[in-house]
Amino acid sequence: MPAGLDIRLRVPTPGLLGLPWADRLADWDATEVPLRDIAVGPSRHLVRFVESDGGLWALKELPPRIAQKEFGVLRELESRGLAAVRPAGVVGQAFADTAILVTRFLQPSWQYRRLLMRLPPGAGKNVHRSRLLDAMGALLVDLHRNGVFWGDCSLANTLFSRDGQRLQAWMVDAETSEVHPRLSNGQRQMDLDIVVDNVAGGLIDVAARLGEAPSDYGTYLFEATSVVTRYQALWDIQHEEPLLPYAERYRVEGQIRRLNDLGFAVEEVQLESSRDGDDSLRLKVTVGGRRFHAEQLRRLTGLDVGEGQATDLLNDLRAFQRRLEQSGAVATDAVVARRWLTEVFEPGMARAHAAIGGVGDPIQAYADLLEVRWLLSERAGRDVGDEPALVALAHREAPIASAARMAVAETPTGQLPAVAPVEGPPDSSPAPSAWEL
Amino acid sequence: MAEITIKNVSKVYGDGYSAVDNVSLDIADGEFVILVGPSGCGKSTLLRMIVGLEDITEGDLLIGGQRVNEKAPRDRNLSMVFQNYALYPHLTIFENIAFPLRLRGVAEDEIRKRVEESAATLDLTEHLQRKPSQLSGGQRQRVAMGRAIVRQADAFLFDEPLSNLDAKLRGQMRTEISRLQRRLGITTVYVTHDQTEAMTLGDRVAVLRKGVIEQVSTPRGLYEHPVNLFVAGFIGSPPMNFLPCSVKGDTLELPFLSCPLGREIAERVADRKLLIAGIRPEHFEDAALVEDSKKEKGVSFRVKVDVTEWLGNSQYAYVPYDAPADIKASLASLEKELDSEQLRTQMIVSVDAASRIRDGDEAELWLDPSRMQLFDPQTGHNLTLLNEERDSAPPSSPTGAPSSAAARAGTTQTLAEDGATRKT
Repeated sequence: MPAGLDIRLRVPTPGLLGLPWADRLADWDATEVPLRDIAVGPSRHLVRFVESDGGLWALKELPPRIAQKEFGVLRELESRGLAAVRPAGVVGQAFADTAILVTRFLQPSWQYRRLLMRLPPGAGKNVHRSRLLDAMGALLVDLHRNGVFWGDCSLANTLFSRDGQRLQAWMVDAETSEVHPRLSNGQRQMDLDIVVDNVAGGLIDVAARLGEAPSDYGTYLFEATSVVTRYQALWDIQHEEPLLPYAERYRVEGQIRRLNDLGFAVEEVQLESSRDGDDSLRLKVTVGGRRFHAEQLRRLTGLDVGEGQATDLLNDLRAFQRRLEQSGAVATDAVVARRWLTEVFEPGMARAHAAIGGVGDPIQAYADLLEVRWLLSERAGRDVGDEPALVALAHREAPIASAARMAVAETPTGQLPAVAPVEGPPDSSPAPSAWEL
Repeated sequence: MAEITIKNVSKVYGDGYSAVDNVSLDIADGEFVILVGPSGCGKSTLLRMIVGLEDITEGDLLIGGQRVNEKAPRDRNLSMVFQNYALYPHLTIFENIAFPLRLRGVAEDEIRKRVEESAATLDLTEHLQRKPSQLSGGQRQRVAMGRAIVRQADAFLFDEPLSNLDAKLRGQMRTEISRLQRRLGITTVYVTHDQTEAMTLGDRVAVLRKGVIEQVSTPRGLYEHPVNLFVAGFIGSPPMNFLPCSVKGDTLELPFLSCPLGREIAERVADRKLLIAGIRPEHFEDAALVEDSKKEKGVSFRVKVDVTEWLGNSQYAYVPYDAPADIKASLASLEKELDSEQLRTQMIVSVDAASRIRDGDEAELWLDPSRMQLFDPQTGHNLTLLNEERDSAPPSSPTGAPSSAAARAGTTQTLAEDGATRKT
């Protein structure tokens, strides 16, 4: 064993411990290590994937100083509950003046390329892109609120997972990131300038891959600049400090509801006299995490799901409650919730999951059923019931712009392909493989 | 193109931590200035204040004569090179460089003109229609530089750009950055903790320590005339030897030898009994290899050599020595500040590769004492420097570009003994 090996694992599973840490990552042998072939696009550093102990792990070779820094930042993000990949360890290889950063690969999550490559061309695709950009904007707001400067925010450095009709974005690359007590306006603006450039590049790159003419790039450039608008809208509503006349204190409630509707919980409300000496009050709202509906659903039903899914499920629960009330039944919230779980949610989820062949997350399948039923009913001008929606889901024929269509990004094309044993070191910037498509 | 003026700038964080303390520095139009120092010295904070990432607590920042303290980063028209290095695999090199301009609404023929010009500067013209995968690692880095060039920024800023690269690419990129800056003659501020990068790239180098600029000079000026122990220890690899010494009349007594002390210096150090002598490894030689005519200009002495390292084109000999406790303590604290792992109580001697000195030998070495620097162990000040040397710019580095000649001639600043920054 070479001197200067320093293995630091937060998840000391036998599989991870058993990896050939005394060798350079490039020299790992596919016949001895369960390496997996996952296209992540070009990277400056060598990145390889290992499947072990029931998880998928991303391993990245970096100069030691940078690896330690990124490990530290990711740990900080984890402790603040921010959406970022979880650091599993860092292995120093002083004998080679390098280090390997180990992170747990988020499952199920995917790169934006996979979604855009798999969606059919034409109308509706812009709606899906819009969901991607909403998720980017929301992630950046979350990071900035927590004093995190990203430095290299891009679609390629982000993974996405489905959450009801929304997407959740996850930061995967923190090489350039810094955590501060709070960010300056300059830091936030710089991140926004960077994200616009990077998103524009990321979108037109996929367009070029799909053979679109450069004359069509204008749309994508425009969409890229919209990340700033999306970010700003979310930032402003969390930071605005409106003046309210003393007699109109009740308007605080409207402000809180606006935040709640967006999923933000309110931790504290402060009203202080304005400096102008008139009778108005300045309203300051301390916003907590974005899990308002998720917490409500968890309290009622015990279900622990994403904020986007929780919004859909709570609507379904409230509709069920209204139907009960209309039929004259009187029930407490707890009873309604229990009946909704057993009479509506569980059978509905089972049917929705079965309709799509039992793949993916069953709760998301149910959220898709709710969405598609609502869209078909709206089109028909009456409640069409579950059946047409289940058929649409089964045949992958949900309305073209529906969030349910994003399931294409999740459907695996098979088991993760193993890396074929090769002679010589692997290419650190592999061409997009079939798996990406 | 623009000059950057930093006037009494300070940065104090909310928790009271002072990261940059009353720093002043004039960076001339076209000049390549390096900010260097150990971690925590304030170099990155200073750069980030120039970029607009950190608010300036006190002082003024001027770019092209305009105060920009309150301006947003994008309105300062500076370019952080390599900040945006991602290359897109399905876009041509042309498009990889061009798209940020499209985003800013630049007209198509102007885009073409700028991309073609930058490609010519970077020797990328014949690659413009290729894809990134067809380019070498170094060429890809040049594409990232192309993106910075086409923006036509007033200055380039680099924040430890090479720390992320492997050793081979690091060397290549250092050369590329230097070549690019010379060709464009663009004002450049470059932050690094690596003194080799600092010495090879900059017209001038500012050495920072605990938020204060210790010395600004050409690389040669820092190497030959460091104002204090800190700069002397930071610049140079292997580092300068620091030996305890004492003054006896007009003689200086070192651990292995004694040498005469010039009258002028003897007068200046008269009241200090104990000093630290700074001697660069290459100021020694194997006495057996020194010509007779040269030999008498120096001092020969015998030592026991612990270890030797033969590197083909050079050779180092290591000679342990003992030092009084207080000197040891002041060297140990210096070591800590410099992030250095060098053992300060062994002397590193550079001898010719042809030397026959081997491990464990009792060897005769030769030293040219005229190049020795003497430091006050308490204040760290270099006592060898005359006041005018302390204040003036040493001869320019041979690599200077014509565009920055004026800068080198006119605006060098060094920290004088009283702590005030003076301008010549």
